[in-house]
Amino acid sequence: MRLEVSNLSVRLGEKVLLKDISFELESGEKLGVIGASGAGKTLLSLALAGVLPEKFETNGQILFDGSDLLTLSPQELAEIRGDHIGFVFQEPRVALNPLQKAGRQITEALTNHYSLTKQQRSEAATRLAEKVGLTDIDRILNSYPHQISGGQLQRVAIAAAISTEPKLLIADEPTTALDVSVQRGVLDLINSLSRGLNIATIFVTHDIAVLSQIADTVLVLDGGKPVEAGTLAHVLTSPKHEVTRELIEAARSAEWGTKSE
Amino acid sequence: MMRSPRSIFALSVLALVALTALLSLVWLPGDPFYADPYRAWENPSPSHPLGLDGSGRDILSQLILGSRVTVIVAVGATAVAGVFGAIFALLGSVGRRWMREPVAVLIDVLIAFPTLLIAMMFASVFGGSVWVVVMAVGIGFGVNIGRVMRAEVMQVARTGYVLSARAIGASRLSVLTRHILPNVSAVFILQLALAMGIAILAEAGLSYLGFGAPPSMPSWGRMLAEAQPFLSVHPLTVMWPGLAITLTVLASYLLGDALREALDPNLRMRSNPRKTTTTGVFAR
Repeated sequence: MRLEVSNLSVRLGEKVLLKDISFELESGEKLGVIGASGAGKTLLSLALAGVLPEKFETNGQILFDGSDLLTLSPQELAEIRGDHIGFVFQEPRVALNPLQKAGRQITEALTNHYSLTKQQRSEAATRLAEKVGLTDIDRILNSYPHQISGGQLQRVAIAAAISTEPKLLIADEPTTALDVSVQRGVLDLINSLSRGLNIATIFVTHDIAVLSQIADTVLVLDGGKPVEAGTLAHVLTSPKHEVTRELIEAARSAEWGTKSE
Repeated sequence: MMRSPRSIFALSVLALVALTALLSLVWLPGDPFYADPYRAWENPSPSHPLGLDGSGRDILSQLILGSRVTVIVAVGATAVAGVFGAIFALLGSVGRRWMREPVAVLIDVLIAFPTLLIAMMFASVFGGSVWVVVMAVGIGFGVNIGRVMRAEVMQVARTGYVLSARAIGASRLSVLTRHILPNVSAVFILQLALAMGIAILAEAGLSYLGFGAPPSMPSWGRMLAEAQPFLSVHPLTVMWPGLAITLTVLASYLLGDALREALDPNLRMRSNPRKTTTTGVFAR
């Protein structure tokens, strides 16, 4: 798998919301996209997912294994999305249908792209639930989202995203809605999945502490523009841009804050 | 879920009305059309438990026969309103892009016509009949349902789970049937229950004004209209149809309320509970 994003920009009317985003990603690599609120992180992941409302104007290129996602027909795009590209959204409680049981939602992407018997679906759901480390699987697969805890629910969402063994996983702040003790588990899960299945990962976050646990390379956004890019170690040890320094500073003081308590 | 006294009351009253209408097909206590002018306004007696009206007809028989119109209008108008509402709502929210705005404008224009006016227009063209009432109330409240459901569908269409379903390659149809429709069905059912109450009230009102069922078909509204001038002299004859209408409408509103609470946990959790529309045909 090879993803090449070049000069991606998003406009809403006269306003430029994202400008000149370019990066490349290979199988197994993990790109962390970081920036403060309003920097355009979520917009970037929605643009990559191709689910921006029609009033947004997207320019540039998103080459996924050679085919430009921005010029594909809706049918061709629908075949790639969910099958070769998986998505995990910020808040699992919002990203899952409140009226469908978790087991069914885990296999939704699968059923969109392959025809499965009921038996195969329930086997797939159990296998996926095991893969993402869910415990008490039978109960969870037969529960509605409001009956499942946030951390478990995000695992359900991740299971749904990797159900088709995608080549690329886009995760938009998947740990932000979770408390710190659960965050770690979800991060470890994404790390091990990316290693085990050789998935390329785009991980969007505002938290540099989270970023440092997951990313190989980093893209820093500010006001919709890329301000810094490089390997994780390089960006963390010698930040060139003011925004990067502030983010690092914020993480450091947060750490001190917890230590002094 | 439907165990509260309120819903038991509502369901019993509505069941009673429905059963009465069924009963009228096979049995009536007397001939509702047999008029005996010499016995006009007679008080209740064993042979005429609710007494006789101004033309000397048996009130109980008329009341029982009149429930047919109520049931036909309640079911018919609700069905028409549901179909119209669903069509308007879907075209205006998830239909083709170019037709969404025009449909919304059309809804706004149609809503400006009171149901009563639509019914009078229909009645003057097609003559007064139960079906005129059904269509008029159905279209009139259907537009209302269309407006409410359009907003509801658009709201659900913006939720995270619809976004993520689209992101994983679900087709428009499967997003609609698997995610959007199940999540708006509770509000739809509530709207149908409201439509039923309004339809019953509207039928009574239209029959009262003479636009409803023809004289060959007794209805509670016209019984009320015929007895009303003599309210101060023979209050009982006004009370029976009035009581029947009031109880039935009350029951359908209470049913709508109970359904709202039972069906939709989201409605219960919302900090600002949706206001139930209390605009009857006359309020507009």
